[in-house]
Amino acid sequence: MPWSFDDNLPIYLQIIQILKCDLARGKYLPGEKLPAVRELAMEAGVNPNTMQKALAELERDGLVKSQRTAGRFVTEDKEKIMEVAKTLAYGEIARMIDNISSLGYSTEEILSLVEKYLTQSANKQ
Amino acid sequence: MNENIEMISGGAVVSDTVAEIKNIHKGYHQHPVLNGVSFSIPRGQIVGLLGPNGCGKSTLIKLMAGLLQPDQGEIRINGFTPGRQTKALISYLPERTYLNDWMKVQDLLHFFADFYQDFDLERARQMLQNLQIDDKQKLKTMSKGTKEKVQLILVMSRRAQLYLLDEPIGGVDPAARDYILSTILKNFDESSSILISTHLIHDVETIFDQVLFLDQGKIVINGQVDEIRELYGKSIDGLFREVFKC
Amino acid sequence: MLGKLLKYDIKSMAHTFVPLFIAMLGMSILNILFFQNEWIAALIGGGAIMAGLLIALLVTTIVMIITQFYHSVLGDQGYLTNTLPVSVDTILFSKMISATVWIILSGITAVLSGFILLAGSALSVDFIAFIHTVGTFFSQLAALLASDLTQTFWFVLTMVLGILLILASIANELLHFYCAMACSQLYPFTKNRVVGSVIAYLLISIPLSVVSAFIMAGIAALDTFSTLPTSETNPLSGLCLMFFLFLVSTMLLNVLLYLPSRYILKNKLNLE
Repeated sequence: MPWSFDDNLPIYLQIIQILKCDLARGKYLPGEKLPAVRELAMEAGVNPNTMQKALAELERDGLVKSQRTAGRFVTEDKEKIMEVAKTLAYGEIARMIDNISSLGYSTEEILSLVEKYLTQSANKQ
Repeated sequence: MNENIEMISGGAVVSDTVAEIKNIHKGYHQHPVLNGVSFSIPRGQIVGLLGPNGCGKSTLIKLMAGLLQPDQGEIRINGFTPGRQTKALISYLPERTYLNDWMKVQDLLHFFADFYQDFDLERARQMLQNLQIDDKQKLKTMSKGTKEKVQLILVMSRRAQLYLLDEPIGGVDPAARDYILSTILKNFDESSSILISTHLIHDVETIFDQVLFLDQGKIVINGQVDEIRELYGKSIDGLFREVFKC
Repeated sequence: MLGKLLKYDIKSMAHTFVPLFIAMLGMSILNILFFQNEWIAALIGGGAIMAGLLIALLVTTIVMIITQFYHSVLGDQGYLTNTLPVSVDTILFSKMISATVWIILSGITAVLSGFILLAGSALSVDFIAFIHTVGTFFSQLAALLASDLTQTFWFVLTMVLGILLILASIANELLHFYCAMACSQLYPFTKNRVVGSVIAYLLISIPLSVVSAFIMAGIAALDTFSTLPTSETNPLSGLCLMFFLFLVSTMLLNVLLYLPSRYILKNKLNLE
């Protein structure tokens, strides 16, 4: 099943985002070898050149390292990956806050709403 | 057409070009189909040739395959004008099934291996096996969909320089479409290029590097997919619907 | 490449011709078994069946040759044939040679089954006598040829020229068909390609028969004036000259049919 993409953004940017999520979630562990570009491209249902571009971008960010013959590996640097997870989380929070504040809630109200939600869902479990 | 569109040209600078099309004109008995089409296909790219039905996509592909001669203009495939040499370099999938009904699948494999030095018999056998198509089955007894798959397998089993695929996903169900696209991606390698014509863009656009919009015999948009998405803030499909709005 | 193409072209017609050949030969043999003691019935009844089969063979041969070319070069299969890395000449020659092979095989089958039929009816009369007659014919011919080397020379020459003339005439018929079908790629024949081919066939027949008539007249004139067989020249020499002239003129017509066919397939191809 190919990955699903948003219509409005360049595909390579969306691939970067998806791969970053995969790293944060631990789908690929630090130091683990990544599948070959062709395999990833097949899995995503995208052009190998586009996948290549996305991986090159991740490489520039230091999240993956390529070793000439052996292939591409996830960085050993766990902090870097945690940094990625944090950035992604902040992104999600920012989007959520934006949406809620557009409903007319103030910062304090949002904070208490979130707290209330979290305690409720903790109780349910 | 807006001026920005003309500015996007080819995108990435690639020194090696597989196909060069210069100012092609072609008409059938006074009725013009192509009016000065120019573009080039860089090596290692998948190019989408997009346009509504009857805009000249098939004609353009037939010209490149050497099935038609242009009225005016020049076509170069790896530096050669279409002819015997280029036919050995091009793997062409027409819109029709061109297979001889009395033949068995294995006859076809031998036929392709006989005529095309770049035919990879093992790869073809493997793909047929994956689809559980029997070597000894006659084409006459196959459904249209299976015949189309056999034809795609034959075409994609060549290690060609340029693949010309005319509407490979027209009129097939979604499962077959996924199979076709993954077959194309699986067999594509960096030293070759693929030109795919289609009028069904959604779900396919992610496999293109570059797209060409053909309208009334002219190329109206030519650019890298991600550049177009960035510039217009919409998908190729969305842009297509806008450009070809009725 | 010609060899490879030829292999497939010959094969692709085999699945129609081979069963037909078997049917013809089988019928002739059955004929012997059924009418063993009534040779007149055998000759008449068998003859009627054989005549039917002969007509079937003739019609099949012509239809196969036409449809084979049309489907393989100008129909859907043309998308494959015309994108093979081979020249138009290779394609045309492969079609001509494969068709000729099947025409000759059809001819051989017809002769063979006729022979079986004759042998069958002769069987009930006197098979030994029949074989003897055939044997005598060939031995006398051999004796005649052996006795005179000049005679042998003219005989062989006549045979060779005769065979070449037959081949050239077959090619002529084939090219007439091919050229007509190639014309279906041109406007206005593209409107209905099959009807277009038939019209083109008839249209080509006109100049073709005019040119042949002129050649015939020329040869006839030449023949009357210069090669009246005299006591000194061999009676076969006149025939040889005539065969030779026919051969040259047929080949000329063949070139006149080949060139436009080649031009159209190369430059004006316009598949549906």
